[in-house]
Parts: sequence; structure tokens; C-alpha cells
Amino acid sequence: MLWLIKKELTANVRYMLVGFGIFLAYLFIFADNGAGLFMLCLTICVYSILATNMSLDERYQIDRLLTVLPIRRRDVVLSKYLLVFVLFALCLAVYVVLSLASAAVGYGRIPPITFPAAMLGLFAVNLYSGVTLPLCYKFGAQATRYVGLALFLAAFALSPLIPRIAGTAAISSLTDGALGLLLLIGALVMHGVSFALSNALYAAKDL
Amino acid sequence: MTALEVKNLRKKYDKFELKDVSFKLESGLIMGFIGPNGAGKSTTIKAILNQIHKDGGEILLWGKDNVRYETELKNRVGVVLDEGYFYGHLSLKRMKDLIAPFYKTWDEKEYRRYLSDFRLDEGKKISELSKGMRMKYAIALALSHKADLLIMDEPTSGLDPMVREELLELLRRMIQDENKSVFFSTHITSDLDKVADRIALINDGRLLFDQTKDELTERHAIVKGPLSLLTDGAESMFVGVRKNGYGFEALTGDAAAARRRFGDQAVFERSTVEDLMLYYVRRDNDALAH
Repeated sequence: MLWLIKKELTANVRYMLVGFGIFLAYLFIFADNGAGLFMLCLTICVYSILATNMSLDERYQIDRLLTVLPIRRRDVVLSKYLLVFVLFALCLAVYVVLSLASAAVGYGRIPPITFPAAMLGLFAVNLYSGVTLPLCYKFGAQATRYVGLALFLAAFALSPLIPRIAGTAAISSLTDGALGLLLLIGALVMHGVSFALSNALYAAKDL
Repeated sequence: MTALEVKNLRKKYDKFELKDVSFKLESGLIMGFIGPNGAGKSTTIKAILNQIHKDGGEILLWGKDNVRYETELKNRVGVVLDEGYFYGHLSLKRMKDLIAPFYKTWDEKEYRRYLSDFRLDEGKKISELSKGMRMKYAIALALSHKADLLIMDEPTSGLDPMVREELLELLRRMIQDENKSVFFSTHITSDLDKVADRIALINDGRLLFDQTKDELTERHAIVKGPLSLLTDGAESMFVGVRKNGYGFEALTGDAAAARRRFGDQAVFERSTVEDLMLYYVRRDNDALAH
């Protein structure tokens, strides 16, 4: 499994770097989004990397290669889902370093990450990957990219609503820990359901 | 030991069907899997590799089910597909670095030897390789984990004669180890005349024969003679007959009987694998048309 994740990370280094470049650039471009900033930038980063990853795999028919290697199909699918968690962890680390650095130099527009803000990011990218990956396994990367684009645009459009949603009575009555935990559970449930669906679709697929 | 056994393999698509395909490949042999385009060669190979789901039948590698023991068995199988299916933007080295760790028995020394033998530059991008070089690279990868069974799907199509000869030489060397086997699909049958021990012919999803090349060439012969010889049901001795204004040319499946019947009146020539494929497929297609 580790080698599969390494393959996901290193097969397309250039696109991976572009994805992280976008993450960094958008941190500054959308720096006034407050609590939604991490979620927004993370979603853009994961969207660009995952969409490119899937379309390159489709273009070079990497499925055919993977199915001659001693790997289970289930692990191939799982590696795509774990890639999302790895990207989340990497982006979170970069964000933490940058927010600390920006506070140190008095820039102050990149707020420190909170547990709910981090989990909101995880929830958003699991929503994105949870919808697009099963569609990719069913219809292919090219057919799915419009769905991915729609979700990506929705993340943009909805991000200004986050402070308002956070201010509603139901949400504001929750502690940061409870809210974060709720988002984490939501992300993991989506992840589990989506993985089960993708796994079933890919297992049944004739290559 | 039987390296590969396919029993009553069935797979149905909208416009094509594999119908009860069965054959066996013993260790230490090269089997040529021949047939026209669209006959079912690639479908059979995909089923062996579990890239498609069979509708019926059984596929055993060294006696073990190819699906149940998939990862264990794939460690012992090297595969060369008709296209490379590699990331075109990666260098040979980076692509190898992605593939090698999946195999328990990867032999870096062996891989380096193949690179040197094939004059492959590791720093080159895969997209910059010619078809021949890409095929050599695929073969180097397939052989560097000490595979006991090499499965190749049309490996020589599109290769120049020099590269094809190199590949065949490599297979001859590989097969000197009696634990190794090669399963080799192609429609370039002249390659099989040189290296194959066993030939299986498939047409329209059905296996027409699976026999050793020696048996086939002993039993069959090309017969040429005047049209006047084709009397009293003589044509029934042949798999197929081609007639022209000067005479006939036919393939017989019982060379000894044909020699007894025609004697010196006809000319007998050794049949090639291509002759076998052409005559048997034509007969099969004619039978299907009627």
C-alpha cells in the first residue's frame, strides 16, 4: 500500500507541485476568508491534483499496468482515497507553518488554524473526492471532470457562507471540539461509503 | 508441471464471445497463441490476468486459481502488453522505480543487464522511445523479477525484423531454464516457426487446435498438383483447397495418406504456421457462413 501511495505522489510530481503552488497562491489571494480559508485553498489544491491524477491514469491506461502487477484492485482504489488524506496532511502542515510565520512577521491575514477549520477542510475534500472518485471509476475521468468542476465552483460560491453558518445557533452552541469531531465523523462516513462504492465499481470493471 | 491451464473459458460481449476455450502450457515450453485480429487472443490474455471477469470456466497458474491467488501468482508472471501502458512523461528510471517495489523478487542487476543488452538509456522519457525500444523496455521490466511465466500480447507487431529477432533470441535463452514458460500471442506467425513448441489457434472465440508444433508440421503438408487429381472425393482430404488455372494448392491434415494417394503426381511441401492459420481459419469462416 505504501508503494501505491508513493506512486500516487511521485508519478506526477510536476502536477503535484503545481497543486501546492496553487494552494500557496490562493492562501494569499483569498486571505480574507477567515475560517473558510484553509478549506477553500485545500479544496482547490486537492481538486487540481486529484483531477489531473485520474485523467493521466486514464490517458496512459495505467489500470492495465496496475492489473499486471501483484496488487489487489482494492488497494489501487484505497490508494486514491488515502492520497486525499496525505494531501490534507501536507496542506495542513504548510498552512500551520505559514500562519505561524505570518503572525510572527505581523502579516496577520492568514489566521491560525483551529480544529473545526481543519476538519471543515477534511470534510470538503472528502465530499469532493467522495462524489468524484466513484463517478470516475464508473464513467472515466474525462466524463467526470464536469462534476468535479461544479463541486470546485460550489466550494468557491459557498465559502462566504461559512462564517454565517458558523454563527447560527445550532453551530455556535457546539464547542470547537464537538464541531470538529462532527465534521471529522462526517468526512470519515463519506469516505467509507464512497470507498465501498468505488471498490465495488472497480472490482466489477472489465479493463 | 503445467504452468498455465485454461479450462472451458467463457466470456460474452455484445458482439463477441469466447466459447469454451481450453488449452494447457507445460513448463519449459513456448506456446504461440495465434489467430486473426478480433479472434479472442487479447480477451483470453485479459482473462488470464484477471483484467476482465470471465463468465465461466477456470484458469489455473501452476495449479492455482488465477483470481483467488492473484497477487501471489502475479509475482511469478511477467507481462508484455501490445502497448506499454506507462506514464509517457516519466523517464525509464522513474517508471522502473514505481514498478520494481511491487515485486518481491525484483533483481536490479538483471534489470541493468537488460538495459545494457537493449541499449536503453534510463534517462530518456518513455514518450521519446520508438515502439521497438518501448517494447524492449517492457520486456526488461517483465523479465527483471525472475518471472516463471512470460505472457506477451502481440509483442512483435510493429517491430522491425532486427528487433524481432533479438526478442526471439531472448525467448530461446529464457526457455533454457525448464521452469520457465512463454505464452505468446501474435498474428506474425513466422516468429512462431522459429521459436514455438506448441501452437494454439483461435478463431471467432473458439479454439480450433492446440498441439505441439512438431505434431502439426508432421501431420500437415502443403500439396500442389494439377486439377485432374481432385477427383473421387480427393478434396475431402484437405483442410482447404485453392484452385487456379494451372492447378491447385491445398493443406492436408494427413500428409501420409495424401502421399499414398497422390504419390509422385503431386508436390509436397512442409507447411508453415501461417499456412495452418490461413487454411484452418478460412475453413472455419466458411463453415460459420453456411
